[in-house]
Amino acid sequence: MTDDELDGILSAKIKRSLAGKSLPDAFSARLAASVRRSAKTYRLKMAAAALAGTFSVCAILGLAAARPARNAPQGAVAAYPAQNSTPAEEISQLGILGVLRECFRRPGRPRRRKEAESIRFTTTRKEEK
Amino acid sequence: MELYREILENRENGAHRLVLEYGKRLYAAAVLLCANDSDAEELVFRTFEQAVKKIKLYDPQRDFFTWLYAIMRNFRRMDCRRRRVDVVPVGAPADLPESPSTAPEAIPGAGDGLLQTIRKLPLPLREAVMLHYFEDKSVDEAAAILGVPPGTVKSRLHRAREALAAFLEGSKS
Repeated sequence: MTDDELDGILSAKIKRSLAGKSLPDAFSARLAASVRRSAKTYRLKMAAAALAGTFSVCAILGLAAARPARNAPQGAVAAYPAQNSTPAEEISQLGILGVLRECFRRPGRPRRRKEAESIRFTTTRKEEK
Repeated sequence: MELYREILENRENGAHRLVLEYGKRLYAAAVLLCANDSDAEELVFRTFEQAVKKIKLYDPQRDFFTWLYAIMRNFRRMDCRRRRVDVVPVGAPADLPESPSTAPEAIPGAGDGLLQTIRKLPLPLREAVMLHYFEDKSVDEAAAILGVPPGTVKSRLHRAREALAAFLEGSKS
């Protein structure tokens, strides 16, 4: 038997053997369900990533908030912190960001050292007068 | 509408159509590559899942079945590496059964005996058998799909032919 003849016989037999093979009826529905689940998981991951990104940006702004302006009147910052704070400080005064700042503030340090010092300085000057 | 455009627009409908158009053909190829029918079904499922997920990577210039087959082939090879089963280095002598007629599932004259004999061949030989005898690909076309030289495909087909001829002879007697 030549190789070509053998090839012909093998090809016919293999195709005949495989003709009866088919996927189960539920296969298509199972695949569609899996595709649907993957799309849902992807959307949830994107939403979680967007939330985490927004939260990170806010936290960075809050943590990097500038100290009271150097040219603010002494005592004014302590008396009216909202009016004399920088935009970053205003953002950081939002509830959760304020909590974060407190968490990352070094322990033992007063909350607004410079304000406390400026009040003391003002008071001392008044007494001198 | 072209299949890949349909998958891009609506993945669920595209998945249904994918199974309709290529399910039987890909499953038959998987049956030859895997040890049993349930493994073949699982392999086809993962292939279709991956194809739908990565449909944007499909090049419309290429034959769609060839792309599906490449995905399936990669999964099969990853599975074999994990299980360290029936992957032999290219060029190494194939671990062919001594006597196909003594193989436990070999039933003389039955198609299933032929499938079992093919399943006992090393994976590279099975790939060549599937592409040449089932998909009717020429040696050059099979070589292009497998990414090997045509001489390698000829060598693999020759070794597979010897084993299958021995099985056919055994089944006649």
